[in-house]
Amino acid sequence: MENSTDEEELIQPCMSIRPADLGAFRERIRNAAVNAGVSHERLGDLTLAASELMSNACEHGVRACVAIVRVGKLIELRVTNTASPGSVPPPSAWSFPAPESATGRGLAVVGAVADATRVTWNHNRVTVSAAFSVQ
Amino acid sequence: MNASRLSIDEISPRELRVSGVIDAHTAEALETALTRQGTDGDITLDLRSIDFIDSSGLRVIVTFHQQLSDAGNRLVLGGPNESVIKLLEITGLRDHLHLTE
Repeated sequence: MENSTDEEELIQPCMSIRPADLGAFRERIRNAAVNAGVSHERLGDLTLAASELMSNACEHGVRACVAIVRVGKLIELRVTNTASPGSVPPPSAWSFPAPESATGRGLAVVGAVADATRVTWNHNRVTVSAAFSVQ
Repeated sequence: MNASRLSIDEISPRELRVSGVIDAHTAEALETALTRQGTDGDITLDLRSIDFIDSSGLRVIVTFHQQLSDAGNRLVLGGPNESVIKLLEITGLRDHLHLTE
């Protein structure tokens, strides 16, 4: 999803996530995105994606953290946690469940609002990334 | 606003007004409030003061929509703002749930 020639700039180093802190983290991520030049129109989408990814990480993994990186003209959220290898599906498999289903929408919401998404594994650590273009 | 806060007020019998955020941290409080209402009759959830909602909030809404439907009643979502409606449209739930202004 990224051009390997684009230089990465770390905007927000990895912050450990706890469920009780989700609201505070959304605010920090929102402020960092504003400072990085994300348009007001995209802030809602970025904040929603951040909330979904952080919630998933807290629910399914331990040692969860979120970082923000600028990659060329994209601002990328990167949420990392420990997980059983393969337990997070690739973005191509993210889909919405039937309306009657109570759960299973988080990653599909991220896929719907982000400009690009990616899942990468490093042994038992998974990073789910969601990128948003800077206007 | 407090970025982590959800307030729930019973403004009339079987009508709850929720204000603030519904996320993975606060969804349980909404679940508890709706459970207290039971399924014997429609419930209106006034969403006009919601600042943020994600799929954790949808989980609670869909769960109680199903429970009330099974009992022959409805969960009515009142005054959903633009961001709530957008999330319902993205997830394909707008036509599945009962919305009112």
